[in-house]
Amino acid sequence: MIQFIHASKFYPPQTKALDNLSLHIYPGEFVSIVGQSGSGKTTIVKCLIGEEKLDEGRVLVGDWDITHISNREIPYLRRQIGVIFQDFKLLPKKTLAENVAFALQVCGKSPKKIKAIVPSVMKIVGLTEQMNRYPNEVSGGEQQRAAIARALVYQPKILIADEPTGNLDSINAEEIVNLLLKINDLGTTVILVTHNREIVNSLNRRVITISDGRLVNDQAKGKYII
Amino acid sequence: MLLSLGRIIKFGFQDVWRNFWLSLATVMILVLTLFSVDLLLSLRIIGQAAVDNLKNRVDVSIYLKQGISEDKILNLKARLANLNNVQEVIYISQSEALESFQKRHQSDPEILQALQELDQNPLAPTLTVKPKDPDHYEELVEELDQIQDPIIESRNFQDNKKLLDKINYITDKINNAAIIISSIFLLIMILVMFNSVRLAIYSHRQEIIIMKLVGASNFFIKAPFLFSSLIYTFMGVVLTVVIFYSFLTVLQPYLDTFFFGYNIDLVTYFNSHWLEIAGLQFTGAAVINLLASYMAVGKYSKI
Repeated sequence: MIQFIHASKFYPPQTKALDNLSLHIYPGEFVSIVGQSGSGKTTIVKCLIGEEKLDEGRVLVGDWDITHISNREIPYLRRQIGVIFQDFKLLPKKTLAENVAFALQVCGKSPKKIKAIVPSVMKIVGLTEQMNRYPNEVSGGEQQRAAIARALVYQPKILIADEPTGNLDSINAEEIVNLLLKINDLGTTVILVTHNREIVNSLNRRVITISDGRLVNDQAKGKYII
Repeated sequence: MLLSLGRIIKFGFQDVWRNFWLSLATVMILVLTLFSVDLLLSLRIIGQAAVDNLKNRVDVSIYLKQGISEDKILNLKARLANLNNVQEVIYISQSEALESFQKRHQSDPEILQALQELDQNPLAPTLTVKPKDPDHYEELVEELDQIQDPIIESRNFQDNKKLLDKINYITDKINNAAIIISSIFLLIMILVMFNSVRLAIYSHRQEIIIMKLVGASNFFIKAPFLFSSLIYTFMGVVLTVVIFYSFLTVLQPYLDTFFFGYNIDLVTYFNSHWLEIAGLQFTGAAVINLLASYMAVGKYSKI
């Protein structure tokens, strides 16, 4: 599903964000990528969504070699990979449902399809009751659920969660992780990028540990070891 | 495709409306620029009308000796009319010259009385030669200089030449000033449009980030900003037409008084040409604004 092959990424003057990294994530996996700040976790995410390009090596999503992806192709890549972030990235002047609908509008979906898709993804993330509220009227956990709903509107095969629980208390964090597990159960490959030790240890799923841009540990049912 | 186009238009209008004061300032600068262009155009029209009018008055008078037979005069008239640069030769007989003189000075009793005190008509018969093209006045003068006839008393060349030179000098100055002022306003317009789009992009930063995140195409992200620059242009042109036309209706009576006899009617001119003028202004301003916006979008939408 996802392959990094001898991938290296440098930032001037002498920072190696990724250093000859090779890893393979298979379809339907739930993988946690862990590591300290500056270890290269976010660079992996950026390379996967075409925001950064490798200096050496290759990166593949399915059969698609996105190492040198063109600007024109990036939107098509991003419709196949859902991404959520620590800061939710919701528009404050739109309701939760409108935020989700916005993702469909800007990619040219018809009002009829939008009307059908939005309630169904809101139901998956458990926001049917709150869908007409504005982001500032709901909790952080609910905002993150709305962000997940937005990431799911294209039924992506991959969902990347970059520090999704960073702004949440432990109860909301647990709910979000449970939602990610539920999405994974439905067949979506989930990549959880985090440095939350408790969550990683509670998952009992594959853990990839990154340090200084290198893969230092890869365990099928791993723990947070740094 | 149509759906996306509709959304681009919708987002473009939203950009304009949500940044109301920025939009207003942008449109006002556009109005000022286009108004100044219209003003310069009016100056050119006035200048051109005055020049044409004066050029029509450019002629050469050949004064003939008194008491010459009409045959000889008509013979000379025919010779002059055959010259290359001559459009028309008008014969003013002695009595016609007197009649015209009296008419011209009818409000000046002293001159009329002095004329009456003379026993005979003091005015000479005249042949007035009108050039085909006043710009080739010099060539006409050269041709007329070669005509030698004993019935010619004198010729009047120099005053008209000076007048023509002066007109050409003023016309050139007006044109140069128009080009310089228009260029300055053009530059201001480009900078203002560039800045407006830059600020609009800044205020939509979050939306652009999300659009990119969810896979909106680059065209879809950029197009609303380009479309909003077209909205600014359209509003600017419409407002300019309204304001400038109102300005002209107030100005026209003063022009009629100041340029009495010159037949300068700007209101009529704009009535019959407003669509062309507004269309050209919209096309020109739209191209310039789109270029400025395209540069701003290219530079600042890489969030």
